[in-house]
Amino acid sequence: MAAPSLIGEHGLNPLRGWFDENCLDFYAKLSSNVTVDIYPGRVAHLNSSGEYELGVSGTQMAIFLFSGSTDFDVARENLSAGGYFVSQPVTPSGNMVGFVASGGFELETSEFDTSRTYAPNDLLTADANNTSATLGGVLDNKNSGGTTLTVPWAGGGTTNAICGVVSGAKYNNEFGVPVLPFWTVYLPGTT
Amino acid sequence: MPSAADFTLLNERLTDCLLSDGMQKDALDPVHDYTRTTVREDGFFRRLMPMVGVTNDDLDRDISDERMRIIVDRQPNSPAAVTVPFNTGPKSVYIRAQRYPVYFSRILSRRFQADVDMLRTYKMDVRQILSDQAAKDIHTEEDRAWLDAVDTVLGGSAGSTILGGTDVLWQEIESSITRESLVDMLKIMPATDSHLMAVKALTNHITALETLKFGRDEIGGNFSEELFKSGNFNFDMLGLEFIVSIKRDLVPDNTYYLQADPKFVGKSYSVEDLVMSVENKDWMIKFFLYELIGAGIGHIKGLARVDFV
Repeated sequence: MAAPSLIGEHGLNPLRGWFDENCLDFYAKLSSNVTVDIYPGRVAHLNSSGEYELGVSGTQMAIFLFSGSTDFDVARENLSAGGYFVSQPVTPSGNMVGFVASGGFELETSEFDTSRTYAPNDLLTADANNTSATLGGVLDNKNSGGTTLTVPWAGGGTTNAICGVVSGAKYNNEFGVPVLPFWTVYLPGTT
Repeated sequence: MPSAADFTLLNERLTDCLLSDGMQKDALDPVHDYTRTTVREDGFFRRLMPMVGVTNDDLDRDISDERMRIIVDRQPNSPAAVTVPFNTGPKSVYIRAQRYPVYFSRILSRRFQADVDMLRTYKMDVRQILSDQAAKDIHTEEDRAWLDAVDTVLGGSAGSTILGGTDVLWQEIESSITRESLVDMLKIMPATDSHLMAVKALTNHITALETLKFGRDEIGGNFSEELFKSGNFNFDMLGLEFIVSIKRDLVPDNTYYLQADPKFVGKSYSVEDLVMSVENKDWMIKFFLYELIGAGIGHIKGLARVDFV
């Protein structure tokens, strides 16, 4: 039997910038190219069909998912694992809410590489990977080669798109879950 | 004929209404001198699946998700009885039945906003018109979501098997709409092992007009003459409650959606029916409508779709 997950075990906490009618949130469906369940807090971008895929690169705008793909107001699963009809949800539309990086939020996420150390003003990116539950859309402060991120235009710097700036130290939240606070930014790169 | 003074008074009343306290919603009579462009209708989903009001006590909780759902039991099947010889007894079957979840979502209109002084020169009650239309927009979204779910469980296209099953309940009938072809339509749903008869049929107004072509030999008696004279195509027949919709973008021409009694299909719940949220701040007025509902299809064989081609 699959282990259950607890409320708060994975999540995104908006520290500043939400909920207001002017806040730049966004909703779209998850692409079928994403083959894993997505926790809230993962980073996504829109593909050419206007659907979410994981991670961010190049000029893609990062969108920090506030919904998880299995949330009751998102999920549209209708068959059991054995292919038997369970039910067809009518009202969940499959749309997932996220915060657009350029919207000026301070967020706190559980979906980051907890093995690394972080300091205020560290730059953050998220791996583009639609098929890995451990990597896809997870924030970290390094490129694929393990080099700490710098601004893309810096001589000899990393080329990754930047989607966040660390605003405080990593700590354990009220559920004992490690979280990382950061400000959202839009800073495109060449990769 | 209304005078300029009458219009001035009406606009003053409109402005007063918009500038009043945030949640006060005065009902102004519509101004009838504006040109209409579109006929709008209420939704058909609630006629197909009447909603049941639910409260927090009816909701089922989960340790992984705070969001709302209700778990619904589904009728179990039972193995057939058998004829046996003497000196034996019955085989056992464990008592159990399946359940399914019904999830909830909020349906929102757009937020309508304006500088209230920019509304002074309208002769029509533009706020009321937009709020009425927003309510119908929300019902349209219910209708769209329902038919999307129905098409999905029926396999997504004509001739497909139903989700998780082998019956074909979305079929094409190669015929114009006649008495005979409509009766052929009725045979589809009871042909499954659920033995259900359709009690409701949904079609659009263009398709419904076809019934006005029925002659005396098809529709019998003087009813054909009555139909021809009255042009009234909105009537029940064949034991079905006919629901006619003008939403051709949702219900295609020459298509009928059939449905058994809702208790054989699924559930439709309302936590919060249509609410208007109004906010006045200085000279800005904003309003939007929303509702919180949940619906789910728990049994597919109470649904069918027929396309006449």
